[in-house]
Amino acid sequence: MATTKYFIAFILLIFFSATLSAQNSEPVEMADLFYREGKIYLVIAIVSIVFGGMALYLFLMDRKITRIEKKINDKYV
Amino acid sequence: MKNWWKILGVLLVLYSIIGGFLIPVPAVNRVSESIRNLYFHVPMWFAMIVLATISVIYSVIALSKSSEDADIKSSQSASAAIPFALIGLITGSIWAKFTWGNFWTNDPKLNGVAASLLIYLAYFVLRSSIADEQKKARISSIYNIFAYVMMIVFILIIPRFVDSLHPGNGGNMAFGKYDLDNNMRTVFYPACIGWILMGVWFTEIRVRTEKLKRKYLYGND
Repeated sequence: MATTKYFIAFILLIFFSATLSAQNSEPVEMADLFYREGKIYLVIAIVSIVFGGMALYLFLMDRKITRIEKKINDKYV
Repeated sequence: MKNWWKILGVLLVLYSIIGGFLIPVPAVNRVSESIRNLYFHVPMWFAMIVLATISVIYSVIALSKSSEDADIKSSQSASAAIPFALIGLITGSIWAKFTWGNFWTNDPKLNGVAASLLIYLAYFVLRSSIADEQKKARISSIYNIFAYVMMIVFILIIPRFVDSLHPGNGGNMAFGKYDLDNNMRTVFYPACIGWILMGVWFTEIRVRTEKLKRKYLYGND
């Protein structure tokens, strides 16, 4: 008899704790609509091109330095 | 192809841009979608700390072998770390305004970064104030080791013992909290590696131009 009483209390407690945690988690405002519109792909394309362009520019500068290195090393060695 | 790591760095950062915008993030109050900043703001600090570590390792080598090459690598990698710190500070400041409510909070990590930035700026002042190259290499290497230790204490150790708004410090949630979300991990780690590689690339370019400059100025040696 006592065990059934504890068991019911236990189940009730679990139930209450579940409802409590459900109350705590209000819906967080996320940019769902923005993502649903699909325009984010456009932004990603632009940002990727900007970064890719910068990286390419860096590569070209890197190559230029390599060429100057060769020239100077020929001169001094 | 000896430049494969540069291409890898660019590709990883590109991947982190695409994945960083697309991959769903956990809905956490107040931070919300801005948690995507994690892919762009935090790698700056990882890159900065790695570059500062490279710098201090070469400082030790420069001291023990009195090698000019190591001194160039040490100083150039320290100066390549500065833009990462500044960008990290500015992006963090903007992020703080919209999640913590102020551009500059009295967070120990922010003040620690500001202090270590000043310490590193003093390093460059010290370098430019000594004309003799060997003396410059020796004194600035010793200073660099102290600067590095202070930087680690300021931004990685002290914030862990006092209350801080940053994750993983004081009573705040740690990276483990984000790490529970494996989606974020798949973008965050590549982003860090990518930006570290970019930083090493910047350092390499600086080292090569500095060597060219010295060769041009002092001739063959």
